Amino acid sequence: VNGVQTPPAARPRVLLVEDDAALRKLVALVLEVLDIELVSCANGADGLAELRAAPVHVLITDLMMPGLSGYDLLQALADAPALRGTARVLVCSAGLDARARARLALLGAWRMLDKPVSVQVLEDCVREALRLSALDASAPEPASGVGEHDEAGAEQAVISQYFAGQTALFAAYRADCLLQFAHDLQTGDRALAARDAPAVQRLAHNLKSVLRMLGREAAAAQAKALENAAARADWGEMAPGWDGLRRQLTRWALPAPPPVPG
Amino acid sequence: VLLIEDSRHFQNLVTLLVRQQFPEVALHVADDGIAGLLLAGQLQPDVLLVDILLPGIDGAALITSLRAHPAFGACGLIVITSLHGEGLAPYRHALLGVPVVHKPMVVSELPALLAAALAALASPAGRAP
Repeated sequence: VNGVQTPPAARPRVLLVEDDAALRKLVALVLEVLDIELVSCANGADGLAELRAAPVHVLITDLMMPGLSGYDLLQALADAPALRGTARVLVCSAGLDARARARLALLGAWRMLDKPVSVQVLEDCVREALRLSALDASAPEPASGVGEHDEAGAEQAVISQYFAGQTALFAAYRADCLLQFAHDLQTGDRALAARDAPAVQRLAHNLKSVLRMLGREAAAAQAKALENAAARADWGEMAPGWDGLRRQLTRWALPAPPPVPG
Repeated sequence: VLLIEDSRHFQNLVTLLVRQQFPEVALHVADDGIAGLLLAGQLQPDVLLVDILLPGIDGAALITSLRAHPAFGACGLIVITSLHGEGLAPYRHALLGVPVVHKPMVVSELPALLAAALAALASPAGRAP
């Protein structure tokens, strides 16, 4: 009977898991300007059920919730990567110290925002996540690449290979790296703009080892190719090479902490 | 202990490792060869951890010039580099007798070498061979 009806527009699906009803309402208001399907849940268990029902592009979650906490939810997604799919995970919580951040980074959190979260920052983060999600859809990972689904497995492998089995040390290092990537992006952009091939070569050389140690072999290979192009001062290859590597780093980078005033 | 390393990523890793396994060690960090030379002169470190590919003065040149200086005769040296095989060949002359850690293996290899370098300082025989 409804044969002529077109399927609902494939709007990006954003899942919000937050036990505070007032905050759920606020986030819905903030994100109203975006063309998205917002699904709200009051706890981790309901959030998990929504993820089982259909994949999402962005997951925004609180940490401290009755029943299944945000940590439990992220752990469940780490254990079942198919459930997470390519969703960017945005954690909003009060009291995110370095230890919590490292733990969340290990669990695959993409951004961590301290409550109270500025509405502008929240909107910008969701926009960025949607933009990256659209990029994913238009250009899949390199064929040889290690997809996000395999990241947890790759990390287990490098923890034993490069970190003597010390998961906590790996997590702390990874958290440092994700912060440093924001600076690396700036360094790379500056080097490209200044056509400074030795600087590109140094950065790529360095990122090659770092990405390998983090279990990001595909990106490490991109860095290696860029390093070689820079060694030959081959600008024809360097520019697209940096674009590709840049995209990966942007996905993983944590925003740099705001500059200390004065 | 003075680390001369331009990569923040590896500065972070070595710092984490030293803090975890050598809490008694005061670790100083220089970002490039020139700052490294200056800081080495200023601090007279017991052990130097040196990267090879550094902006300014490369690690091999830095080691050669420090070795020529009597004040650094007793200083322990460990090279940390991502170069190997042919990449390392041009620097071999400076690296004779110096333990080399390849960057991905820092966690498994550096602690033992650093412990040995620190132990050699304490022993009357002076530097480890």
